[in-house]
Amino acid sequence: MPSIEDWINDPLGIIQNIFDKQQNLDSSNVKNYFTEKLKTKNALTWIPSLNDSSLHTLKPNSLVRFRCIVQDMFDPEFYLGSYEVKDVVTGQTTMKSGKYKDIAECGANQSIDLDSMNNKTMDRMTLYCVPVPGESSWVKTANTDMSKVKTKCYPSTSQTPMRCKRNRDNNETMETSPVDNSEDSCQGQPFSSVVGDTDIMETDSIEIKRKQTNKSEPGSSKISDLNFPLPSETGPACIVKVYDDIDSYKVNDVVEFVGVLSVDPSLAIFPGNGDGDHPLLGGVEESIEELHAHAPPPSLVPRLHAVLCNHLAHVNPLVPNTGTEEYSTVLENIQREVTTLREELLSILELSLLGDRLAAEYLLCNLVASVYGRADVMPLGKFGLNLSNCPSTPTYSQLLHHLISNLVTQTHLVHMSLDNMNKLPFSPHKDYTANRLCSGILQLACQTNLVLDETSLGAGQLDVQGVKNLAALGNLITWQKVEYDFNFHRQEFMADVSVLILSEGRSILPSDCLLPLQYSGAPDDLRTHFTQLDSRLTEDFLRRCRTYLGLARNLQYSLNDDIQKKIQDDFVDMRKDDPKNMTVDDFHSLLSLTRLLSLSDLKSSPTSEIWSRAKVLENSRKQRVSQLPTRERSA
Amino acid sequence: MDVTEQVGRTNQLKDQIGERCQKLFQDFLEEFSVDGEQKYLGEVQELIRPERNTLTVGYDDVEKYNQQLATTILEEYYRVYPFLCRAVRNYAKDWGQIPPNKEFYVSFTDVPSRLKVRELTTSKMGTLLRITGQVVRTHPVHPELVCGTFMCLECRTIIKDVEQQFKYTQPSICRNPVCNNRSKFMLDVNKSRFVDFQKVRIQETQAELPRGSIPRSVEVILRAEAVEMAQAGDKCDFTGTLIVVPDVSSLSIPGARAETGAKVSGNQGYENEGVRGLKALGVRDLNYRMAYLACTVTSTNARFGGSSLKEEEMTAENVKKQMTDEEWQKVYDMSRDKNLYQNLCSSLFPTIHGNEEIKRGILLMLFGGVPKQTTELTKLRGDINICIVGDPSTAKSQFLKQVEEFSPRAVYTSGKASTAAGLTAAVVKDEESHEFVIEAGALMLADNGVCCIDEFDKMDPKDQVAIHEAMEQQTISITKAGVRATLNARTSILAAANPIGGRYDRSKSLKQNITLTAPIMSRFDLFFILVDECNEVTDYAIARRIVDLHSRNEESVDRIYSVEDISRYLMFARQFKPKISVESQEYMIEEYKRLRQRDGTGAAKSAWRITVRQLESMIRLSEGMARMHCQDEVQPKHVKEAFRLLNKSIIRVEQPDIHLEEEGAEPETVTMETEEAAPPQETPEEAPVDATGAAGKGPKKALKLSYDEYKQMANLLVLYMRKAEEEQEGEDSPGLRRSNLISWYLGEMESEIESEAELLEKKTVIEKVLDRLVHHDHVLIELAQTGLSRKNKRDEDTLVRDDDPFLVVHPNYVVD
Repeated sequence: MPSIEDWINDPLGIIQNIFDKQQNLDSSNVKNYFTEKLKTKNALTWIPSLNDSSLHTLKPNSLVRFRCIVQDMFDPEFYLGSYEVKDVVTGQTTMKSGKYKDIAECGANQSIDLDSMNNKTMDRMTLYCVPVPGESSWVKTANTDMSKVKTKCYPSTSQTPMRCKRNRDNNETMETSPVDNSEDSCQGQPFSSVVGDTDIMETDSIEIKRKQTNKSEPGSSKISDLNFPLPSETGPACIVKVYDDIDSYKVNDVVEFVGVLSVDPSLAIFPGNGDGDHPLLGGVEESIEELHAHAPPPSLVPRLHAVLCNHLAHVNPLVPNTGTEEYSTVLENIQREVTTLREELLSILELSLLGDRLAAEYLLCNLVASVYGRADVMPLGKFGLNLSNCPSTPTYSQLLHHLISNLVTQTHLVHMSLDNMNKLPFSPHKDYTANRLCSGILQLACQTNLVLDETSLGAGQLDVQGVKNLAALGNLITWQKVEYDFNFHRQEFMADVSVLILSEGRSILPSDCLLPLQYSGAPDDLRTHFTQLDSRLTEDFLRRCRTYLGLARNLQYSLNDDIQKKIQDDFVDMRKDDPKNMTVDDFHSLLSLTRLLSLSDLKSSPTSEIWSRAKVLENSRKQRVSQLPTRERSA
Repeated sequence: MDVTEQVGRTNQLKDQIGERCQKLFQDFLEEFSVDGEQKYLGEVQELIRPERNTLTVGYDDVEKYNQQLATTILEEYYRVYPFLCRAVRNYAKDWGQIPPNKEFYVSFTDVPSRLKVRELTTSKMGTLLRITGQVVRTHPVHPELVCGTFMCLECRTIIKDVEQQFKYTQPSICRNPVCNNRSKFMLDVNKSRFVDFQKVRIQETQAELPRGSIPRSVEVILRAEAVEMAQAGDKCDFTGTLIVVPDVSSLSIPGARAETGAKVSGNQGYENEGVRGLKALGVRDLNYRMAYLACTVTSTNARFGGSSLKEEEMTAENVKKQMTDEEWQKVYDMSRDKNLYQNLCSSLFPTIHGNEEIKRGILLMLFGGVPKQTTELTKLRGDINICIVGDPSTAKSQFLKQVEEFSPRAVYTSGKASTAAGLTAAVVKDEESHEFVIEAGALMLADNGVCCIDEFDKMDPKDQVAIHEAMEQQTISITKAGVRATLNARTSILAAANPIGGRYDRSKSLKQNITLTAPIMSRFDLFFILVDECNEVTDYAIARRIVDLHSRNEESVDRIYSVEDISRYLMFARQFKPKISVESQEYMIEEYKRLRQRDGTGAAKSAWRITVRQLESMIRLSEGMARMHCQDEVQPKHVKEAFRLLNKSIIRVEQPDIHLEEEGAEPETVTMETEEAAPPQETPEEAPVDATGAAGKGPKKALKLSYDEYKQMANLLVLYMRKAEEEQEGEDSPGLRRSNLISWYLGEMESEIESEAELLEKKTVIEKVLDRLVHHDHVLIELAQTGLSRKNKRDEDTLVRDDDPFLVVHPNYVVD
């Protein structure tokens, strides 16, 4: 491909040519041009990605891509859509396009006429984007491996130089970093090396400390934190400027942008030189905090002028886009071996759940659950699972979470210790001083698996923040919504997070489905127990599992009339037999379970066999639940 | 292109349009008169006072006076604004002495072009607009230089009247022809003119925010008398225009400041040198800051906790004005909808099956009654409170959540999660100032809205007491840490509670089923019971509904009216203050008397005694009904529905299986009745009678009908009787005799009766049912001319049969 260098390295030149040719600023031709270029197979992989290359290896004003979620939406900004350039010598004037760039440029012997009547002001939207929170390391690696451009240094660590610096400043670095990154960087590593002897609880408190120090030094020369939803996150944040369909972007959308990278150092506005010293003038300058948030140094937060954007339904690199030929092949391949694959995966989950087969079935359902619709306020398809009677040690939740993160695309583990509940920010809130949305743990992209470890909760006092956090979690599980605090009011945002709660007794949080684990005696050493999995989790097997789960989660699902009728009749019959045992809620969860079981079979419609299987599973689950010491039985 | 620069330029060129506008506007001020009086003369004279400088002009006045002028102002607002101000100044000069360098300003009200924050785009720059937003941040007021007087530091020449626009602008070059000074000037503060200046930031209101987006914000610049009008948290209307200001922060760099003036193009030279150079060298950032220059600020809602004059002044006309034509048309159409009641219900809760009464109740709650004040200044609330009691998993929370979803000022809270402070108001210590401040609780946040409280029963009793006050007095008082305050909490309460023991026990009364104290219970206008009933038909319907939801969720949610339509309609309809007509009053009295009587008979295990509270509820509900139909008068039909609903909500409480023998339940009946202050006459007699009856029929199986069976029978009878009555119309006969009715019924049942014993049984049943219909539910009326006392009818069937009275259906009874 001879032209490749051109359109990747000098997109602005090409854009200017297009605008010159068509004599207006309609960007559809620009989009068409680049879409055309990217049509060729794997063309996308030729574009360097901000996710896996460090910033200094990328050329300014070249085409890059960035896979991210929209963390915050700033206000639209006005810019010069086209400006007049005057040749100083000849006096000739030409129009230049200001689209897709931050800085007005002109050649030698030319000057920009800012007062020209031909200049045109236009508006564009600015989005603050961060890497997908909780993205499993295998997703990152797979993307890097697919990329054709190999950057010379730092091949796969996506840490920005700033992060390194921060760590060096931190006295506890030595202690933190190995554990800190354990969730992300030990991909492919055997379980034996997952958990060091460092106490995890400590990690969390350090995370908190870091958050706090970041907050307490907003005016310092170091830019305050990059506003990642999860504290352990690394990778670049980016201010993306979008030109078309401004209103189609929603917060928390997962998007892959392809655009022009802009890192001109002059974009940074340093405090002290902006607000001038003219108290007599009512300037409209921003406060220092706001400048930090909105105009951070581009070396830290690069700007990206989006030419094309691609809303992603999922980030699984192993599942091609639906509708393509590739997709059908992959689906067929996996469908062929789905029975054995499912069986194998179940046995692995069974082992990790200390030999509980029933729990393994439910966990599998939990892994493929996602909200597929909302009937008014009721989210459909969610499947919050509460596994009670778990071994009460943080190691267990960490090992289990590690296994899950090896299977699904996005996960996060929260130890619900009192300290964490009281101090960690869960719901995002708006900071009006800096005019930005401060992120919280619950600002997650769709199809994220959240693991809550309630076994770390001890007796003690929950303060106001803790109660709020607990309520936020409950809200998320029940309604799949997170309330963002806008100070004067709260605004609900939709979420799609599959929650798994590991607890000793019944969880204090609501859940769709409670299941006490049954096992005969916990193994002496959980780590050794999990190392049994090492030999079975081969790279090839993991690959197939990931594809399988990705496919299952995004499969279309429908109920045909026959099975509908059967289900309805069954419900009425069951009600007749024992109305107490089959309430409307029970029916809801039974239907959800049926759906998830069919999906896990890669079937888009349930058979009556699956329906009966769901009933059997629910019955044995209820039986176990009924054996629990009854506390107050309330919904 | 920077508008400010444009204006600067056109100024110098003697803007003809501007001049013309100035003249026309001055004419307008001089000539516009209402009822022969010059409208703006008095106000202009006021402006002479030193603290005043802004004249408020109604845009519609201008429009009335000169359409063309009005259009020019609307479209070229930013351009002509200085001229308008000048016109005011000239006019004021004609009428009094004004200091020579006093500036005057104009502010417009009632501007028709209303925009959302989201709609502010480049195309709107410079035109007169009105936007609504919530103030989220205010900056301190400080003086802004409007017109500077400079002194050249080289030759001491004084340069006057250098206009300033958002940034410090020095003269480009000294006026002294021999002096070439371009940069060394000093501002003479005493001879320069300043204006009050304040920057606030407003944010898109919740109502305008598209789902899933972060609210947008815009900087608003306020000047002169508009400063300090808005406080953080207020919702305000801002009239003004959108402008772009050169990004001051990126321009005014030390050392380069002198060259960055907008009117000066001297800095362009630097740009040649290096496009990649540092900012100080003059690289042009392509971005502009956008700001909104407002001349008028009007608050659209009451300040939090303060008095709410505005809200009360709002009239239907006002609301109408704020709507677009299309929106108004929709509201109008809705008000004409014959099926409005039903359609609204089904649109509000499309996913909840059945429970029509609850839906209706909630709907009326949203419309609300009219708050009143007696001559003794006692406030009577207009808000309707509803409590839903029910088994787990009966969509209680869904009702609440749904209300929260579409009601503009609704707060959802769970009794379990909220402490006293969370629900009412709390005194907290401000971390910075160490002062105590009052933090709003859910109830206060829902002022003029709905507070949805889930798990009401789980709430701390202390909180329930706090709510108690809010429910009746509509205020919350707190006395804590030296802060004493009474805050408004005019909110309707929609509560959901679980019965004791998880399930509603039909054999017990409502009181025994929930853990609420009597005073709180009596403050609820409507009580609904949701029982997880097992019934094949409804089960099937529910199953269908749920399966539908799960299989194709988009289609299954169909609404006749969209949520936006409904909330708009609600807002409009809530402005009506219906009065109760004379007939309605009489009807109400009549119904109330009947309720009281029925309560008095004691046969009904009513949840509470019917008191004036229920009468008030009835009034509120009727008013809500009238409001829903956008009517200014409460008509008997509204009262009828209110009464029906009230009845339902009370009767539902006593819908256990119908114990025709009244057995098993007497102990409770007795204890309950004795609790009452004035036991009705019949009660003492009745209980023993029942007891003996039960004893006599001891071995016989208890006569028990489910409520549905009972209802079915009643309907059958009523339908037959109605038909018969119609046939007999004109004839002398007053109706069917009781015996006729019984034999007809038995005839109808013939096919089902196999043995004589069964026949007898059926007969007893029908007789009991008839008794109940007559004495209990007042569906049938006995026309007994024989003066036999009523109380005797119950004890022996034979006696009654001897009388064989005529039976007619109560004219008001509606078969459902």
